[in-house]
Amino acid sequence: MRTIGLGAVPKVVRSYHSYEHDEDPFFNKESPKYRILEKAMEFVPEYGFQHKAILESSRTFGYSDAIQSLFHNGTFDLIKFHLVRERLRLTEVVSKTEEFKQLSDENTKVKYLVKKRLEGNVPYGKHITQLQTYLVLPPNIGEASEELHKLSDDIRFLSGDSANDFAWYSKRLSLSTTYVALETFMAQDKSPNYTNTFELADKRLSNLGDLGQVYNDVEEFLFYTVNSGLNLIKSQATRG
Amino acid sequence: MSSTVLKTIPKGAKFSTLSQLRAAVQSTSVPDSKPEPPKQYEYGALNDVQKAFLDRVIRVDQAGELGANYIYAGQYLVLSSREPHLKPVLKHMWEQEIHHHNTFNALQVKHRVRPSFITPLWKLGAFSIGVGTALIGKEAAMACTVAVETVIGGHYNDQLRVLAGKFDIPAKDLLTGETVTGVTSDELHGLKETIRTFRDDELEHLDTAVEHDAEKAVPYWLLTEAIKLTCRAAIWTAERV
Repeated sequence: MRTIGLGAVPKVVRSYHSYEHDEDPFFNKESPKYRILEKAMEFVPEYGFQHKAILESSRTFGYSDAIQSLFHNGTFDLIKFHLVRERLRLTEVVSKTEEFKQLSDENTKVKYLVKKRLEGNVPYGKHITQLQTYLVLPPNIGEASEELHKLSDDIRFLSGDSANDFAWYSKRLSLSTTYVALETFMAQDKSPNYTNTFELADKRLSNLGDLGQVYNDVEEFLFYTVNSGLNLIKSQATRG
Repeated sequence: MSSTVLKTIPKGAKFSTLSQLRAAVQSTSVPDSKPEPPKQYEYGALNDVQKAFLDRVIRVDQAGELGANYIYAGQYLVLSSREPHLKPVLKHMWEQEIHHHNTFNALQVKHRVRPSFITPLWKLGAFSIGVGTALIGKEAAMACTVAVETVIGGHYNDQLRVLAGKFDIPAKDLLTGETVTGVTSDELHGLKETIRTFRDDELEHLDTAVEHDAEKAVPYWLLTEAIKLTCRAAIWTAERV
């Protein structure tokens, strides 16, 4: 599996989240790689998600161009940095924002976090189409969809999701598809400050909340049918 | 399609065994508000193998308890009218299983473990085993309990053995600054205790079933061996899928 190896060993698959045992931080903020990529993001509004941004950034630090060999995935390193950093920012939002703590139900929290994540795209709004084009390229799509899944998993977890059956999957999958749709819309959005995108986010996510309920209701209905069917057979059998 | 379902069945309607099951499952949450004592140790990281193991343990135990819960639900549905004298016995075992199921549900949410992908299949399969064996007769139902609890008890023991042997994680003593081994974090200790208690409960069910004529079921060995095989296959699958 390819990794971007920012100093620490990146977690390829998320499993068992521990509270008392140290978790490896994904980013090693001291490493030159992190610093170059962080600075490179400042060049993105100008150059787009291109290798040129990394190059310009490393030159401002005075590194020789040979340091480019750190970035063997080229542009994708930059893109992944952006995706992971914006995703991890949500965890900070949850722990540090008072506004978030006052939100009552799960669905409003999901809305809030999705919008926060979309806000992370605002400075690079012009280049979202380009970003998405990179993400769906065959060499990148695996890692990109994994990152997308991690995003929806994080948002669901942080909003206090407590699904323990198949709803767990449907909730994450539906959030992922909605997020991609919203980002695609954002790429074409010409309204000031992307107000249309955020309005759409409100609308789309309101419908999403009912999905888990629908699943549970269908299961409930099937169970009820089986149950009453059995009772019918039992009553017929006793009558003889 | 779906919206009509929502309209005809009022939200939160409780009229079947399943909704009672679910109501119990949802109303319990992780008790997390205790004031914490000052930290004494700082524990090292779990390695990938240990994490993968814990991931599997929680997923398979959750699926297993879900199965047990639904087996008893099925048996109770049939036997509560046919064999009224067994009602309190079944009810007691079923309630314990509900508690186990809730506990693992809470752990699954807390530790961000994905639940088994085929939970609908587990529900259906477990419920049919429960109803099926109970329809054969109360002895068959008890033989089913014997088979299931034997496999589950053994499986819990296997897990405890690994948790005891492979989880010696070095910790830093925050007072002296020394690195010590042989201490267990509350998190892992709690998991071990949970599994140990649940194993004892399951073995108690096993005894109860034997006391209630499980061995008089007619093709006893066939029934128990078939169910044991099914359980092992289910465990293998639930760990992975």
